[in-house]
Amino acid sequence: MKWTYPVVAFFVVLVIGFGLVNLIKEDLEVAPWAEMGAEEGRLYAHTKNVTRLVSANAADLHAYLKAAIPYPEATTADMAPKEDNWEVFFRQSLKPNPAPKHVVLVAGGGKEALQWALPALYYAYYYGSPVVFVNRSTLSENAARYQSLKAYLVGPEELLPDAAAEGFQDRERITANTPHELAVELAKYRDEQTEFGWGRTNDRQNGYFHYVITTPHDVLQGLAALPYARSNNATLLYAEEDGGLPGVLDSYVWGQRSDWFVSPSEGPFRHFWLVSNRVSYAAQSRLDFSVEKAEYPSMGPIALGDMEALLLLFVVWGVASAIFVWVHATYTLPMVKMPIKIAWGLSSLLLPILGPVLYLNSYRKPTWKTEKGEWRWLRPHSLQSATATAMGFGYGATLMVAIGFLFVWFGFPIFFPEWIEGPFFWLGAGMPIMMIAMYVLAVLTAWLLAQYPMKKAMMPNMPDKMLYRMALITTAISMLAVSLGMMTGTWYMLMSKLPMMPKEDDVLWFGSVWLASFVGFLVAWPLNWLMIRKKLKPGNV
Amino acid sequence: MRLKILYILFISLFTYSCGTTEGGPGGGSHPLQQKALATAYTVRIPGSSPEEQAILLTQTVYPATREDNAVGAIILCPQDPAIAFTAMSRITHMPVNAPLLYLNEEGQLSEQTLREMKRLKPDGVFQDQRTDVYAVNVPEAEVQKIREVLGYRVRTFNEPDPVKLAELLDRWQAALKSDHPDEVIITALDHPKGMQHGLGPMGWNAHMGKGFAWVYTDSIPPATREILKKRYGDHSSFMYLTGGTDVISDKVARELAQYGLVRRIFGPTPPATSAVNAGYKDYGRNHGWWWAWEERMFGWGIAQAGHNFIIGRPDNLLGMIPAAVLGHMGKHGPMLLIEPDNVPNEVREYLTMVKPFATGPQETILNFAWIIGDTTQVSVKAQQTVDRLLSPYQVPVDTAAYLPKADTLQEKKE
Repeated sequence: MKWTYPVVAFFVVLVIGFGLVNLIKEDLEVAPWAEMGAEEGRLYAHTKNVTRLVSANAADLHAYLKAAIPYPEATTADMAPKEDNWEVFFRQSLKPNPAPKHVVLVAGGGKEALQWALPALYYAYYYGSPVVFVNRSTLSENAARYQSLKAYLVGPEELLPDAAAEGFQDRERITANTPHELAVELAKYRDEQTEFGWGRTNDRQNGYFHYVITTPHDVLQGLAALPYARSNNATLLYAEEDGGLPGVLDSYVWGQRSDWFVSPSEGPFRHFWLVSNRVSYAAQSRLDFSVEKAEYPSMGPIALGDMEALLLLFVVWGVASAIFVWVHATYTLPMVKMPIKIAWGLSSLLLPILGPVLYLNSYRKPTWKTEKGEWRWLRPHSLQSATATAMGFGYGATLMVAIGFLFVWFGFPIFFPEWIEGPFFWLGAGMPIMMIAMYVLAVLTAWLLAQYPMKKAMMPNMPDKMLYRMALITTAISMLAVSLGMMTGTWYMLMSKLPMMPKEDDVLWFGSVWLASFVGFLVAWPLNWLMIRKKLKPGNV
Repeated sequence: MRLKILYILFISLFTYSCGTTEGGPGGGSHPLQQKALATAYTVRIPGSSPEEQAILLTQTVYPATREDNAVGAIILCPQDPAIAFTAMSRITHMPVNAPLLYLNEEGQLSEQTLREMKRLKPDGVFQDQRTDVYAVNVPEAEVQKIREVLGYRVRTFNEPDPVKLAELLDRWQAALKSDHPDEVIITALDHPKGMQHGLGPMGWNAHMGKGFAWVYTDSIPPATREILKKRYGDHSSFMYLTGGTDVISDKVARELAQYGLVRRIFGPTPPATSAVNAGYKDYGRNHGWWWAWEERMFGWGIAQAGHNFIIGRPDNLLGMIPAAVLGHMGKHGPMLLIEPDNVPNEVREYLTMVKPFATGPQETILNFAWIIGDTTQVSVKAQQTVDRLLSPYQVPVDTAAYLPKADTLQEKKE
């Protein structure tokens, strides 16, 4: 009957391993269904967190926004922005701040200069910052007026030489390798003294941030959407020409997802205005999803919430603990029987740190050999109880987790006929059914495939009927104790503590059952202390 | 060295298999794009029929490029306001995560809706046997079509009486969540404006998933009593009546009081009720002990800047009911009801109260609203008025609406 133990272990590792791999896969995938009809049949392009302004060109968009955003504070010049007039367009659109605390220097000239300048122009338009255009080291005529202010040189030195800012008392350059990176830099940058920069860093949890997104090629559309900088305090960001999001932008927008504590109707809300037709549907949907409000513990799919991070560590430590115990036992403890090694390995999976600590302590004790040549370890009573708990817990609790996962994967059966209503309606409810099934199926499996053969090996002379009975009783009782902690913990986490019940592809589902199992072990430990005392279980194997 | 190459190959394969966001231009031709007028603070969702409105809403909320931004399930029902209202009240919220789509006027599944159902790729509700579609009063032939063509798992609810449907859905929800929520919205079925008064609170249910039951203006149907009896303990229901005494009589309110605490969310007109609902909040004790107490928490309670609204006409019931999904995902806001060409004073005053303002040298708090329906439902002028009310700027909105109530000068008097 030695084959039964590895079969149980294989089943448990297969199911839980599949679940964890599926979790990783689903979190890392970008937009797997984008090419599978997700855009087919769409009647319009807007989504809940992204408004898409589809226009033929910058002049078209400019005319549209003239009507759509009529507020005097956010109006731009009457002429449409073009490659050869963008400086004038901006100058005519700017509503100067009467008491500015900084001056912005950007390169003037062609389209490339505009690509580097536009992110800074968005802030300048919002704040009313004076802007000095530098054309081949020549400064626009307003430069002299602002030399006492701190100058921000925005863009690379090739376009905007240091020499241009020589007359300014204080100066700082903000640049990056690409306009995409520069745009993100400016979105994050903030100097309270000079009041320059949006200051939209990842740890700002409470700002109503809007963003206009275009590509460097469609920079003129970005300029035409300048009213949003004022009306919606929108920051400019760049996507790629191939329709995708550059890594720097992807990483930035995920940090902009805001959380909720009580209800998702609480602010802040974040929004994108997409003005380049080039940006793909996959990119739009990723932007849309990146700022979808999420509950604080998990921060929703993909993003990593605080509680999720802690529980993830718990699970990872569990996996590491199991591997350590299994490898250690395989190489250093040839005298320990395979079923017991498996039990310690599986226990450690759900008992990060504690598992290996108990295991090491259990086997760093004096040994003796029985008459039959089997090894025994001299352990204190509490450690014997821990060993006895691990023997049942390793098989039983991991089976419960695996069975629970299968229920979540395939869906809970529920029943709600009229006759079941009343005090026992919960007998038809999904969670109780899953919990009862977890217990019953795990007890049956552990009893037949682990506990009975284990008892048979230890007490070969006992009649089979009695062995079955004894194994069932001890399995049922110790699993009941484990369940007391585990089910209460699972219910508390999944149904009460977490605002949204996590799905099978959520770290929080695994984290919650892992934590609950740990509690289950702590509850079962004292019970096994009694069983050892009554000599119902061995604790020195 | 070989190992290094293997590592690089493995990592490259791994990152490649994650996919990218590249793709064809997303601003392609969309038939209704030009009708979907976007201002600084509003975006119109321009449905010209209930079916089209529902599809536009699912396309807004669910891009469906991955499992997490697709739906959990889909509600499908005929174009019957009371049935749709009941379904949206109880099914939409998490863990189901289901928008509502309609059958066509002939009670069949149109090609357009079927294709949208295919696009939405439901994940299946794991708390309910991985159900993909909730078919409420859908003919068997159409249900079969969904099963055969799309291969989706369908749960059918067949109950033509909305009152009994509410009871059936209450039982199903209890099995799904192992709980009967004690907060119950009560709406009048037989009053011509009962549902219009109930729209706003129904939006709260799509957002938070609480209980729902129908009454008649002057009586309580037995199925509703059944729902209320199931709440934990005596007098444990918290009932929120939608509408004044003309909609749900005081007699009914007094009778309901035997099941718990009765509150009213009401104004003289449906738009006024919607404004009250947006600001309404009730919270306090529900039940429990020190280690597992449950609070009751009902209503949006929005009385400050920085929120979002779903704006449409009260008589566009079939368009507004599926729009509650906008309160379930994305901007999570209450419904406000307006007239086709004008924003009624109660809504105007409410929006003035929550008007945003600049909060720092580099930012402003912002409000936002969805406009439900094409320009025959809500005019461009009304959308612009809403935009001005939501804006952080002190601009005259439309001073005509502020005329004091007096005889109209232009009408010749006797």
